[in-house]
Amino acid sequence: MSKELKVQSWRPLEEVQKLFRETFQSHIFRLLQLREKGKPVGWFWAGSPVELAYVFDVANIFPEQYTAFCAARKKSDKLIDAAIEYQYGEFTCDYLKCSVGSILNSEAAPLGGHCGLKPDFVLDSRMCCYGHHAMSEIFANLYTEVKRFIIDAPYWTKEMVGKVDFLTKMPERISEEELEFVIAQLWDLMHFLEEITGEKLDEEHMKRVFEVSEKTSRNLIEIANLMLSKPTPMSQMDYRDFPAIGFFITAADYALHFTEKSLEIIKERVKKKEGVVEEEKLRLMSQGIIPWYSELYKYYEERGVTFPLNLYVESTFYLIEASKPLESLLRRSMLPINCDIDAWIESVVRRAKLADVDGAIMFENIGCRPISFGLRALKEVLWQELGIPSIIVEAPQCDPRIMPLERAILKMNAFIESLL
Amino acid sequence: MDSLTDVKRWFSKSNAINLAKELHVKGKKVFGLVSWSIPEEIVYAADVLPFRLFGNSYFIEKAHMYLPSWCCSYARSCLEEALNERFKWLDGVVASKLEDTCIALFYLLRHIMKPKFTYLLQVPVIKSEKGKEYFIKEIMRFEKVMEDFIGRTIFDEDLRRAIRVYNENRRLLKMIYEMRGKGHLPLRSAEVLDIVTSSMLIPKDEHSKLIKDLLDSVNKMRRREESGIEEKVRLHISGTEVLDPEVLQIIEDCGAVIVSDDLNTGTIYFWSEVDEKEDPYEALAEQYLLRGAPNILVTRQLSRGVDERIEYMRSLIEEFNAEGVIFLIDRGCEVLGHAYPHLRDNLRKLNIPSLRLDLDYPISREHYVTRVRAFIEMVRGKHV
Repeated sequence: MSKELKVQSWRPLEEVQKLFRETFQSHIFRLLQLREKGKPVGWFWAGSPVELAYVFDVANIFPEQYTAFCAARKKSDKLIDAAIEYQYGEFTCDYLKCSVGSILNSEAAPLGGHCGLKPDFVLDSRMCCYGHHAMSEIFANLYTEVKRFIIDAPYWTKEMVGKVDFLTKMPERISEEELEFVIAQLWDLMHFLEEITGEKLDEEHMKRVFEVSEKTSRNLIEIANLMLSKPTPMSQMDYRDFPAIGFFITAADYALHFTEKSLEIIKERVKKKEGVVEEEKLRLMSQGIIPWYSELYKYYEERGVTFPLNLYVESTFYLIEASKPLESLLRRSMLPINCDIDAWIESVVRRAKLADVDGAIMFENIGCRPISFGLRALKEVLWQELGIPSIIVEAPQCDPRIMPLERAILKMNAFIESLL
Repeated sequence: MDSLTDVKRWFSKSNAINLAKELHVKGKKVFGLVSWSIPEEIVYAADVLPFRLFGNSYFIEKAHMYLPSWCCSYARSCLEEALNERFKWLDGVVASKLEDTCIALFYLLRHIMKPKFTYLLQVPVIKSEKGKEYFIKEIMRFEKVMEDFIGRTIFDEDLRRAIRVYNENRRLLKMIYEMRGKGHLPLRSAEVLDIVTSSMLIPKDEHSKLIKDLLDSVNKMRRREESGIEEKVRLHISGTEVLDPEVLQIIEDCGAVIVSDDLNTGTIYFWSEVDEKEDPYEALAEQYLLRGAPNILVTRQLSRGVDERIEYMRSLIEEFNAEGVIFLIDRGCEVLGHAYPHLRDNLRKLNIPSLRLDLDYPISREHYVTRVRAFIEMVRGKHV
């Protein structure tokens, strides 16, 4: 960079990283224990009613989380190649290509492919995007014995929900027809789970599961709000682990423990006014799924560019209400990418003001239509309404060959120079 | 209609668009439709013209401001048209929530065109009684919003009439396909594609009249012409929105004849009829969700969508004696990006040869010719 940003001492939260590793281990331990007890394995997508896996003691696998894990360890290329060789579309979601690739080329798949646990059922949820529905169909084709249960939610328009708080996923209202349609399907799903597990719904257990989930979800929301503090308290290299909690395992005791401890640590940092670097030079907003293989965030944070607002991470958080379990499960479908784009953009404008950001970096996740197709409209509004400039960087979330770090850095440096 | 040259003129996209525009100038409201899975009968019953949005631009410039280059050419070219203000005259835009690309396109069109009326129709992805009940309510909600917009009530009889008009057009289009399959239609498949796509652009009753005129001309002419169809390899075409007649022409120029398809711009759009005896809302929900040609995006509980689609393809292949299948796949198409390998595998199990052609613009004619010729030889060889 011509206007050089000096490298400073970078301060990730090592304790949070350690806690996350322990949480991940606890999750694997739970899976193995459930398998030993002969419990069924279910594959779940982001935005689906994941609490039910804990209500019915199902071994819950998350193909997206698994593939993010593969990409972060730079083990995704062979998996993607296997999928393309089989002639899945080059421009389909990276999560699909990786996940299917781990089935087609199991030798190249870390952790034995999806933790070595083949599904007994796939929860096909059109609660987030069409891709999940299509991928479930693929799993049902590759594993011919697998049961595929479909749950459908509407694409939430303003007329149905009014304004939505996209951090908590709390809408102004929920239209009667949609509420009835989704709740009826959730009951069908619970009956299906009763059948597949051979166990009746235990309402007391369900209550406890949702109580844990509510506490975890409240912690995550508080953490997201603390992230807006000045200076930015946490590195994105730590924050990027949080979607795994918010999307998939809020109902687990180990997730609650992780968020409680992390919250304490972050609060302490905020209290001391300590940031991820000594001197914060620029505050940027980030949108799009994180390119898991990349250390881009670290590169910039070391140079004083911090990221107080990560819209993708925030999209994975929800306020779960133990008193309204089914409505909370329905609200899992109120992700920004499954809601009125204009309503979402309005909320981003509000959030960007709160975070007091200087610019925005948006990752165009090649193959992910709901995220990538809305970026340019967001870019336009951020500039027109707040005078916030932004840059779009091509970045598939799992394929490092498409976005070499150096090329992205070159492009982003030019943008950052213009902000200094 | 005096000659078959008229067919090309009457059914051409430009003529259909001009006709729709003329009607608009005379005061008819026109809604742009982003997807084929919208029960158009509701729109027609409101005396509004359903006008399927097609892009004509294969040279994309402005659309790249909003959509990445890997997005399907259908969405990019539609957006290009909107950015070039070619859809400015439309009164409304309607899309369905089934596909992420359609949803994004809907919001972008709304953002750019700012039409007076917009509606995103919630078509369920699940074929079930609950899905149908919900869809009936959704169709009624759509109708109510339409009524508020046009300022009058849509009566049951309006809807029943619309269903009858649409069914007649479906039957006539089916007849065109059946005649082509038997070699009784002296038209090339590129022209047949124009006939189908023009039906999505102009009022169905007028389109039906044009088909009837065409059939009269064909009946007079048939005695004079030999189609030579028996010497050609009979092919079924599979894909989603195929809009470019050139690709079909290339295939037929290589010594094949296209006899059937499962395209959204083909049989998927018109093959089965809405039940005229049932309650109209129930009948529309049945047709567009449960009974109609299988939508690859909509599935029965605990089953696979590909099985239904394959069964549909198989029945057409059998009915029209097709000897092979050519998949026309837009590289940015998410639907076939997921489904293609399984459609291919299932055809293999049925011992039906297939070829995949990736659609990308500009069209690489020579590349297609080489591959199609080799495929035709392979299919011919199979029968020796």
